[in-house]
Amino acid sequence: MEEKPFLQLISDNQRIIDKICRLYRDTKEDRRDLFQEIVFQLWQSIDSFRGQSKPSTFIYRVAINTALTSFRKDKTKKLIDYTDQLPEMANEPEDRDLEARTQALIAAVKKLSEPDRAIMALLLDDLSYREIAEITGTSENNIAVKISRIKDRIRKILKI
Amino acid sequence: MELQEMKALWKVDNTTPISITEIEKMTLENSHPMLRKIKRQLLLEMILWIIILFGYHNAFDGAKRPGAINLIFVAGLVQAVAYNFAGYCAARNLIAGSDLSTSFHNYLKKLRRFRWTAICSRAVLMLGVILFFSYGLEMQTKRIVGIAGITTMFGIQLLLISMSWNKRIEKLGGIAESLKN
Repeated sequence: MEEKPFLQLISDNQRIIDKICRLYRDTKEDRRDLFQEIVFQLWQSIDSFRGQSKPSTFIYRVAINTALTSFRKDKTKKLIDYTDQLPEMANEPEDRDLEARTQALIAAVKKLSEPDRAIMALLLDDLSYREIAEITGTSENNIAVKISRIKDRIRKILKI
Repeated sequence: MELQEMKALWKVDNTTPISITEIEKMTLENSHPMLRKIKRQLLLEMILWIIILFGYHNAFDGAKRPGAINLIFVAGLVQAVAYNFAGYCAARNLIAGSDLSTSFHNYLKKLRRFRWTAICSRAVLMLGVILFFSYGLEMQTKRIVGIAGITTMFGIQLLLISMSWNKRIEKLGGIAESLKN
């Protein structure tokens, strides 16, 4: 793929990358670094994308792979980033409520194990079991079992 | 919170948009935060090894030592430079398969191979340094204690390298296993 369409593809799908960064890194700085790392890895591997699956599926696969594999900074050196807990766009009460609920959801998903977070993210973005199985490299049956277990765990975390 | 509500919340786009120019910069190796740090560190190490490689013969009386000792010392330095470069190349490519399980499986294979290369590379370098600098020395108690101390320090360093690799491989192995089952 040429550079221009690639950049457009990333620009159109930056929400996916941002969500993965929010799930796998705690501070703004770490998220920014991971975002950059994901874009770099996408650019490195874009030639392996043959268009057999949706571009968003490819982006999810590379983003999750990068988030799980890349080096992290020493957690003991991590500073508490209170501003990360604050909504970025919360001028209206409705916005504030929406942001608070989104934060609560992300916080709940972050309590899952790292591989389960990936499956939950894919489920929340409405990917089919077949697509999730394709990304993770496992069977649809296995995914169905995992999803049922993850849903139970999320319900417990959110105390539904 | 029901699943449908979670899905709706997940899809809310509250990201601060990043411009195409910014994204373009992110594709460049030089603006990559982690690679830039690794590159700087490797470059410094490589410069140091290369300076030693070209200067050791005169500075540390290489001519007074047997060819085999010189060879082990030079081989230790050269392979350390080569290993550094290979490590940098490996850090550039994290994606090693068409799905997460395959990618993790291949990446872990690469890491396990790299762990042994890292340990052997450091051991050869340390052996070369100890042999080179201790050759021909009159062995007095002080010197023996000194060499034993340096060897112990090198041994501890090897152990720490090995432990840090094992920790990373174990963690990624756990993730790979969890993805599959």
